[in-house]
Amino acid sequence: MQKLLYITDQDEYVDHSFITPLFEIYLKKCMTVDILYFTDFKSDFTCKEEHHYVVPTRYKNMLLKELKQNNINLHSYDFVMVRNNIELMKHVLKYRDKYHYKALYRFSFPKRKVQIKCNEAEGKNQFLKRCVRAIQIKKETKIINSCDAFLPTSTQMQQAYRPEVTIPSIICAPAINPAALHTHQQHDSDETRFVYVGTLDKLRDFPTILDAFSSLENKSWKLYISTRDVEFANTLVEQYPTIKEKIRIYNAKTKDALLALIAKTDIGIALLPDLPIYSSSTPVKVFDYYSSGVPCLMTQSGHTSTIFTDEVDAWFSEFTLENITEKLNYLLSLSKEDIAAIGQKGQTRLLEVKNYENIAKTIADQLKAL
Amino acid sequence: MHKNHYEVLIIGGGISGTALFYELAKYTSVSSLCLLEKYEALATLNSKGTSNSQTIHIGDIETNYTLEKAKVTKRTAKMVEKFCLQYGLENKIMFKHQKMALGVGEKEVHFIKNRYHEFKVLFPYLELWDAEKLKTLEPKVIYLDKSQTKVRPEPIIAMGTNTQYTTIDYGAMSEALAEQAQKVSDIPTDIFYNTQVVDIFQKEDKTFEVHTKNNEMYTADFIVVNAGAHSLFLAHRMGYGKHMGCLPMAGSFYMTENHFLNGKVYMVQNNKLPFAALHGDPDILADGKTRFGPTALMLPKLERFKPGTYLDFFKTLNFDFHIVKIFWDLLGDSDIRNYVFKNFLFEVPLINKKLFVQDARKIVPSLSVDNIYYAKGFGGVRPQVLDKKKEKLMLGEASINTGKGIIFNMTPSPGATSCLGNAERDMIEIVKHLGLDYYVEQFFEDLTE
Repeated sequence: MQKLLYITDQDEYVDHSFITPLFEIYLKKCMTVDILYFTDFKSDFTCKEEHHYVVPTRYKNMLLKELKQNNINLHSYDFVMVRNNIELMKHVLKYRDKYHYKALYRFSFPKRKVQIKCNEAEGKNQFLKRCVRAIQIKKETKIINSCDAFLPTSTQMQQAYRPEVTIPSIICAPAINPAALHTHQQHDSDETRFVYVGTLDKLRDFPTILDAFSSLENKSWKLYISTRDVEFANTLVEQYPTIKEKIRIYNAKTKDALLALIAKTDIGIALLPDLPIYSSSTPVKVFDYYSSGVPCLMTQSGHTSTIFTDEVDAWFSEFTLENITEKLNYLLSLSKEDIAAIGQKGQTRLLEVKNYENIAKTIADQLKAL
Repeated sequence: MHKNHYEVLIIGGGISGTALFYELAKYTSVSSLCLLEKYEALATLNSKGTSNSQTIHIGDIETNYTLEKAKVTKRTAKMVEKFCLQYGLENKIMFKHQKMALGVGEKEVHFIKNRYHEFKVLFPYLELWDAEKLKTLEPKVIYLDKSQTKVRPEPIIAMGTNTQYTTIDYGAMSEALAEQAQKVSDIPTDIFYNTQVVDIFQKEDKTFEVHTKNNEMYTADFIVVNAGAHSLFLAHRMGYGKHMGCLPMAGSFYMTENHFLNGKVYMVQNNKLPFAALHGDPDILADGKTRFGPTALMLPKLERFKPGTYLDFFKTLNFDFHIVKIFWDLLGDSDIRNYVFKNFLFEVPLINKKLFVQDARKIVPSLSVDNIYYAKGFGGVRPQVLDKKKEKLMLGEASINTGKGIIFNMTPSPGATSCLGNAERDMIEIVKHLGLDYYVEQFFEDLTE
């Protein structure tokens, strides 16, 4: 059986809702997978449950040396994959010939680009940062092109953010976990419950959504928000005195808590401005909603429309006040049963085309072919 | 020249040396034992109650410990506890205090919550305390002001307990170990004070000759050196441990004028820093006044508050390209650089208190300069080991077992907590080497759970 070492730049305790199903459950059916996390707090290397390594962040620059010193047989790996950290990738590439593994770079999200965009949305001049980023991307692309394969979240993301990567690409997309579906709980109250989960910042332009809600004549609704940016959310909602009583803000700490919250609602919201950072892949929140059988009102993009069909298993809306208001009015006219049926269809659709089991098989096959 | 022969000779009368002295006397068939101590009494250096934090580091609130390490420290910490209970030393030299690891800010709170769930399996008594609970248990960590009206704005949580033995005077325990060793055995168990070892030689018949500064000579079949940083100094003189260097880190403390915190409060550790994060402890030798610290200052000497040892430091550092590389890597990190610089400033009169208070406010936000004073005479030296082969600073303890009848131990924190565990390891080696009997059942009954 081939063997993969997946090095993630994430902390050992973050919610690994992507890694766990894809790498630990399904990819493990095809190959041995060891996963390496970092810790900001513990002092020593730990090997947890045989296939989990936790390494103090101070060893990042000498990671493979540290693994060797802790009796990890680096010769045993056929593949070493690094997530998002180009310095770590450089380090792994340095030892590729010595240990004879294939080096893989996983690109999950263009974080720096998002940061610049957020700053611009707040009115900050980002000219210098844009220049620095352009240079960094050149350098990073060169390093990525020395790897054996590139694993972006979607083809569109590669085209938009790493167009000059020329090595083979293997798509590593978020999906639905067939083993972790939550049953949708039909609530007794008359109102329609909407839910939004995820980051809230200037760039996501949530006021447009709140404007739409506040213009609704039908007041039989509630909006649940679960976000880490609780302060931002509170400040924002305070600006809408007419509807603030209808909005509840949460900060679900774990994936289970989040899915449990979603399961108590009727319709998920994944409306985002028309920017490549949002349209180049399906937002993870969409999978979270459908995991609980909750249908989603989402922005139509090249990506989402390859999976869903408007009014069959989802609802599409342009990111404009008029369009969102119109869609919300329409959704408020639907019965709970109609809404639930759309959610069920969406979940079935995702299980057919975007589930971690299939994605893991495809990734394993493509890795073997390298 | 005076000549004495012993089957086992221990150099160093601190907590590690006396622990081995006790275990050999009580649990083996050793025929004669000797302990050589450089100074006029036992535990005058790092084991002394004023030199360390008096903490039993079991691993529950030490946030830099992995679960694996905590499993080991739990066993050894329980041995210390069982020894004290066996001889009725609870509430005399060993005490129960409330203790907690405090997480401040989103990231640390997230860490503490997860760590709590991970470690509760090993430490079932642990509790998770939120801000409301902390208002009752340790209000000073919660409030911004002295009148306790404003709550600090950051998220805060603690994991802790108030049911466990937490605090011990390791100096007094060293004395108890030595006293019990001499009481429980009818073999020669000699302790010589004011006896500084300057050289050790192995003879052709595999026994050892130990030469002291006052021109005395002792011989032994087996030697264990538990002399702090001087263990490595003596190892180097015999040609052992050349791949190691020693970096003495001095720790100082600041004391409050009166009882301040209700128990031990530890902060979340930054893994880049090899030394304990700042903490607050009730001092059992100072009427429960709170002691904040330790600071961490590299000191070019091996013993604190004692004259000399500067030259010994340079010899023990074992300076070469590898040492330069270790320092380069350490100081290349801005966190460590800032930490080193800040800790240097903590020792500079006039500004030290002000700067220290700024750091200690992470524990007690309302702490002010007039609440604390520099604890003169408190603090010790942690002999941190530099591994030249791996080119890195080693955390925790190091032992050189030559396999030839001599062992050298360097035991910075949690060395005192592990004293009986480390002694057990060395005792087993000695028993094997000398073909002695080991009363294993009695040992396990007395000292383990």
